[in-house]
This record gives sequence, C-alpha cells and structure tokens, in this order.
Amino acid sequence: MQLARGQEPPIIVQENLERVADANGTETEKDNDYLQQLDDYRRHPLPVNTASAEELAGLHLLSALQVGGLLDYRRLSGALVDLYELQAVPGWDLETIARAMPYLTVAVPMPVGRRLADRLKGSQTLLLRTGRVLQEARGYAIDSGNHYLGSRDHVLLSYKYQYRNLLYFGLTADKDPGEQFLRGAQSRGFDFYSFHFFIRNLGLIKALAIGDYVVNMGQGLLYWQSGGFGKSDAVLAIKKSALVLTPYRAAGETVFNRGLGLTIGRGRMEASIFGSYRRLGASVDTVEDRFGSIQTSGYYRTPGEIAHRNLLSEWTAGGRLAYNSTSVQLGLNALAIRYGLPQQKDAQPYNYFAFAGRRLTGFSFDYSITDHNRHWFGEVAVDQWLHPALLAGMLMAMDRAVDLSFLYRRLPPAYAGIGGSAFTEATLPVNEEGLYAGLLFRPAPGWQVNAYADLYRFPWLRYRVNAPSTGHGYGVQVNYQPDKKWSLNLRYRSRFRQINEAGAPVLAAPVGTTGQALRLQLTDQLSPRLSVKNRVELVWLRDEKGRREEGYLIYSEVSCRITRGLWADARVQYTETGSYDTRIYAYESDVLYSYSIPAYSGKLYRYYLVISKNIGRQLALWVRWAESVYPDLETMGSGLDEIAGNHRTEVKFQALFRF
Amino acid sequence: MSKVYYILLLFCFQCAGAQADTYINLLPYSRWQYNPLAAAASPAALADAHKFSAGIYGERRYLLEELGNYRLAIALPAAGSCFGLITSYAGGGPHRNSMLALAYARSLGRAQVGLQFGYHSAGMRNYDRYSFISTSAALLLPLSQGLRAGFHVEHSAGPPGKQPAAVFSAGLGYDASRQFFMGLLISKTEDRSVQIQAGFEYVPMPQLNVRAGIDAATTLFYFGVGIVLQQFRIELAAALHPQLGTTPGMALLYPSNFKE
Repeated sequence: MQLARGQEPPIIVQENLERVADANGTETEKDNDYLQQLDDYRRHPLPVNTASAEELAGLHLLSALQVGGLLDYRRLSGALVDLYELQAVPGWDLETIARAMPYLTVAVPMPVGRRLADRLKGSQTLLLRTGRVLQEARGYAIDSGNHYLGSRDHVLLSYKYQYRNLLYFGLTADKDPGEQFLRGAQSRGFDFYSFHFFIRNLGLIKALAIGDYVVNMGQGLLYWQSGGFGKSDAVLAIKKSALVLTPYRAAGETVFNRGLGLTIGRGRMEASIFGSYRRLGASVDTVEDRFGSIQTSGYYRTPGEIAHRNLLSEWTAGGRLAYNSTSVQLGLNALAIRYGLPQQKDAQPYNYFAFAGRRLTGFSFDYSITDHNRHWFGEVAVDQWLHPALLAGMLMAMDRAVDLSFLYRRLPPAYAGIGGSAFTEATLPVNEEGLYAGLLFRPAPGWQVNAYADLYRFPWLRYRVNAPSTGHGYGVQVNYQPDKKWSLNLRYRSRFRQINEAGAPVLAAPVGTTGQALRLQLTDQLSPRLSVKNRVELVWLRDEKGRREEGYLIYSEVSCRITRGLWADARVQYTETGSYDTRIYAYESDVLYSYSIPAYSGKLYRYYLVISKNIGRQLALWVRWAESVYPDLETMGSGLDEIAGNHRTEVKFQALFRF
Repeated sequence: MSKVYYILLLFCFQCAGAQADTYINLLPYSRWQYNPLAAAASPAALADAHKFSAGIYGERRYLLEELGNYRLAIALPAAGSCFGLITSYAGGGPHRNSMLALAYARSLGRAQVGLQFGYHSAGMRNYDRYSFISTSAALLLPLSQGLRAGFHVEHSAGPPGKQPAAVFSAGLGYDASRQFFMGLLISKTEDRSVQIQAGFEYVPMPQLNVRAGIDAATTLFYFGVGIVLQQFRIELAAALHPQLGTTPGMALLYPSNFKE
C-alpha cells in the first residue's frame, strides 16, 4: 500500500465537511481525527461480517438503513463470502458499495486469545508537520502591547501506535503560529500535548480509554464530542451513530475529555462510565469571580490570550447503560459537569435562558428500532431543572428506488444542552424547533436524486437576532455516475433566515435573508494516473430590505501520479463574491490527515500544489504550496493578522515515518 | 484509432457583448455540431476537425457601422498536432480593435486541452492606442457518447486600467443525436454578473441546420440558419435585443462537411 497516497475522502464526505465549516464559520483543519479514522480503516479495513452497527456508522458513509440492512442480511444469510456480495444487501446500491469498499473486508478476525499477543505487533508512525505563511502579519512585526509572542511556524509532532482498531496509544504535540516554544507560556515546549491509550474488545472490556478520548451518547442532545456532520445533502444521514468511547488523536485542543473511560459489556447489555478533569482557557471576571465563555480556539499567542489560559477547571463525569439487539437499541445516559467558577454570560436579552452556574446535570433516554423497512430513532433529554428536549426521527425504505427520512426536534430555549451536538440548525441543541424531511430517489442506474426540506423556528432570541425567528432550507442534488470513471453532481440549495440588520436599533425586527446556491461539479478519472475535478458554484443573496449580492467560484483540479511513488495535486481557482455574506466554502486537498476548507470571499485567485513522495516503504514526504491573490486589495486580513500586500502564500511540509 | 487532435481556432476578441455569433459559445460542447469558428469559445473545441477548414464571419451590431465585427479563422492540421490562426477586426469609424491569435491543441486520452495566445491592438484614432496579450486555456471532457463538459479560462495582460477582464466559463452539452444538440454555458466575466446561455441546434437534413438560443444576462435572443452550397456552408445569424435592436450576421465556412 502506498504510504504517501492516502485515500481522498469521498465526495459526500468532502461536502459534509464543507457544510460543517459553513455552519461553524471556521476552517476545520485541526479536527482531523475523522480523516485519521478513515485512513485507519483503509489500512485495516473493517470486518464486514463482525463489525457492529456503531463501527459501520462511524465510517460516515452509510445510512442507518444501509447499516441495518447489512446486519439483517448477516443474520439471515450468514457471513459474506466476498465484498461483491454487498450488491445483494437491501439498500446497498453500486455507488454505496464503491464508496465503502476501500474500508471493508470479509477477512475473519483473529480469535480473542491470539489478539492479546498480536496487539503488540501493530504499526507505529511518527509524523512531523510544519508550515507557515510567508508574508509577515502585523502581529509579528510589533513587539509591544498585544502582539504574537512566538514564531510564525505551525508545528505538529505526533507518535502513534495502532493495532487494527483494538489497541491505540500515542502522543501528540502541537504549536500554533504565533505561540512560543520552550519559553514564556510554553516553557515546556509545545503549547498543547495530548496522550491517549485505548484498548478495545478485551473480554468483558469493550473499551478502555486512558488519557484523551471522546464520548458520544444518544443522538447528541446530552453529550456528543465526535465530529458531527449535521444537516447535509446526504438526506439519510440524519441519525448520529458512533462508538461511545473513541480515542482522541487530533490536535484540536478543545472538544475531548481527559481522564478515564470504560465500557464493559456482556451479551446484549453494555455499560459505560467516564470521568474527566481539564483546565480550560476562559474569560474570567476576577472581581465577580465568574467566567463568561470558554476559549475554544486553542490559540495562546498574545499576552491577552495567555492571560486566559488554564483559568477554569472542568470536571465531567457520566455514564451510559445500553441494551443492544439486532433490531432494538436502548440507552440511558447521565452527565454531570462541574466548573471551578460559575458561568454567567453577558446580560444580553439573547442570553436570558443561557446556562448559568457551576453545575450541570442531565439525563437522557435514546432508542433506535428497526422494523422491516423502517428505522425509528430518537432521544429525550432533561437537564437538572427538568427542561425537556426531544428529538425523533425515522428512516424508511419505500422500495429499492426510494428512501425517506424525517426528523423532528423540539429544544426549548431553557434546555441546558451545553455538552450536546445534535441534528440542528444552530450549533447547540437549544432554542430550536423544526421538522426535516428528506427523499432519496434512484430513478435509473447511475442516477441519484437527494431532496430535502427543513422548516424550523427559534422560540427565543439569538446572537444577532433580536426576536424569535423562523427559517427554512431546501435542497436538491442530482448525482450521475454511470461508471467508475466520472461523475456529475448538480446541487441547488436555498436557505431563509432572519438576522438583525447592521446598525439597526435594538427593537428593529430582524430582516429575512434568502441565500441560494447552485453548484455543478464534475470528476473524471481520465486514466489510471490522471484525474480531474472541476466545479462551478453560484450564490445569490437577497434580503427584505432590497440588498442583493452574488458570488461565483470556479476551479479546476488535476491529480496525477507522475511516477511510481510520486503524486501531484494542483488546483487553480477564481472566486468573486460581493462580501463575506456570500462566501463560498470549498474542500482543498492537503497533506495526509489534514484538510482545509477556506471561506472564499471578495475577489481572489487561488492556486495550490501538493506533492507527495514515497521514500522506500517506510517514509513519505509531502510539500504543499498555496497562494491567494486578491487583485483589488492593498492589505489582507485585519487586526494582528493583517498582511500588507495582496497575496498570501502558505507552505506546508510533512514527513511520516511508519515502522 | 488515431487520436483526434484539435485545430484550435480561438477567437480572442473582447466583444462588447454576446451577439449574433453567441451560438458559437455552445458549439464546443457538441461532438457533431463543430464548425471552425466554434473554437472562439474554447481552445479545445475542434474535436472533429480532421482536415483543413476555414471560416469567415461578419456582423454589424445593432446595424451600426461603428460596431462591425469580422473574423477569419483557419485550421491547419500538422503531424501529431494542430495549429490554428485567427484574426479579427472590430469597430468602425475612429474606434478599432484588432486581434491576431495562434493556438495549439491536442488530446490527452479522453480529455482534450487547448492553449491560445493572442496579440490585440485597440484604441481610438488620434486619441489613444494600446496593445495587450491574451492567453486562454480550455479543457473538454467527453463524458459519454452524447454528453460533453468543458471549462475555459481567458486572461489578458496589458496596460493598467485597460486590460480586459478575465473570463471564466463552464459548459455542458448534450447531443441527443447527430441531428439535435442542446447546450448550457455559465460564464463569469470579472466584475460583472454571471451570464447563463442556453441554446439548441437542429439539423433536419444534411444541407440545412437551424439554431436558436438565449443569453440570460443580456436578455438577448439569437437564431440562425445554415445551408450548403457545393463545398461551402453559408450561415445566416441574427440576434434580437429588446432595447438595442437587431444584429445581423453571416458566416462562410469551408468545407461544408468538416464534421465528417
């Protein structure tokens, strides 16, 4: 297997990652745990005959109906002899099989007795990644007041050991641009260190986590830490599903637990318990002895950011009791969070129902039931003040060509869902009520039509929305893939939301804004060594005050295997949008285990080149050069990130040693 | 099977706007509706050109002498590749704009790529004169027997403030048969709104072809008809703008059977 050439995530995953970036308003480069998991499964494919529903769902490539269909097929027909037998599984079309095949195997797992010794014969990797922006930002040019104290380099060093999905341990160290190294606030070297030890399926012990790990329970109303894709054009991917405990191997610095986690199970019963203690960065009011918000960026570059470092202690504990059969899964979940200081957000009207205090306790009950061609799932949660939250959904395979999905959520403003991450329009599962419906239609071989509609309202105010508001979203996506060589994708989306007009008085009603986007994407494998990907995207923005804006993006990307062990990916792109409101996100190829999804706005030309090379069987190197040119600007960015000139060049280097 | 090399006849002329020859923008996305002048829209457009071909086109926009537009394109197959030569002249009266372009194209397996360089001279007599260089690159992807997609970028470099805007295009065409074609083009000129163009071409008999379409950005309707006279094909075109009026155009193409 070629070390340097990790499998690029399927298009549907790239689109989901773009959706996450759009919803969160950030480039999600650092949260690369999912890509690592995907690459792990590529190297150690999931045994399709013994994998659990959560493991299969954790690929994020299969819907709950497809997972259920496979489990039913296994139960009725026995083990699959060959992966091509997946064509006989209800709900598995050729596109799904082609997408999932690289990550599945029919190989029989070794007996438990042999696993203990063989778990120490896994693979080890040492990864070094470094990068910098060649142009100096203003924050580096000044040496007093608020400025960046460290160098412009980003450095990531990571050691990992892994034996299939049964044993993991490793250490990750990360330094962001602007942070110091071996001095000042980072006197111990890197700014962030992470250690994980994780073992799976050892007799009664289904999972044991020591160090850094993530927890996922139910449908995310109470507690969910894995990267969730939320709403997307994959209309059947409305159900969250993941293993309760998974190791944390990313450098995101924020969404994980640090402590101990344990899952034991016997027969159909399974119990999980976890505990975590962390020191978080937060904006602390030392006079009132409270904190306002938790620092989530992970940046400690300036004296101001460093002053917030490790000011807040957080204790987290929880558990889950689950019953798992082939067609029914039930779970009872509990969560307790304790902060060292009480939280009290700014006295703004939209914070009227925001969580306040030091202690949060919550409980939930989740279920998923498969009944022939229907799959029901949901979760009911309550916080310590007995504010209930509800999420219920259904997936239905009408026939071989049509699947339907429905999801209803009712999340009152007062519900304290600060640990949750569910299928919602907003970031947190609070202050939202909505109904989502999706349709997947396969009219003919190679064709697939996804359509969805989502109607929702926010019963209370929100940040930048000074009144209860409503919104809706619609989307249609047509995929045509007649063979393995090329595919055409046409997508239209419309979204209506209400938001305060800039500069308007506090009592002014929010203004309705409609955004539409049309995308045409073509991917073509021209030869075994050459493939191209092209995209054109148009966006329109209209609001009730008459404001109109447009945006446009076009790119062409070429991927080429130059010689054996040497690859190159290159893209040229032009973007022109009216403002940040009509920004466009586009997934970019990057070094292994990393990706970037910049938000493009304004007028710019963008180019990048990624070269990867195998050096023997154990070493792989990557070099990435990316440049953005803004012809109409004299400076770029703002504040400490302001760069003189109109172009920004970023270079990245990565070395991976596997032994 | 011999490779199909493209004879690149790229019309690199900054038009005042889509006009009677608007239909050529869609022709690169058709396998059967090739015509030498079609390469104006995409350097990689001459997939079916197996022999020497030439075309000349002229129009008078909105019937104004000052807005004349004339173009000559020649395709020259050469061993292993194809070259194209194209020249154009636009304007009338004091304002003139001329262009001379050289192009080269070839296929890469299933895809076809083309590159073109042009020298432009423009200006107003006794007032100003300037020149600039244009470059153009295009990719055509035959996806199936009838479906074809393509992308085209055109960029110019010249005196600051006078260089024309870059143009980015993406198109999709479908040949239902040798007799019927329909196409869609999305193009973006720098600092202007997106233009969407759609049209069709119908060949009821080998000696006759008709076409019609619309350019949404300029609300322009175009239509045309072509007939064969011995070795030549004569095409008459017209465009209708709701406010500015009619633009008649005519093209003379050789040979008449260059699609074979």
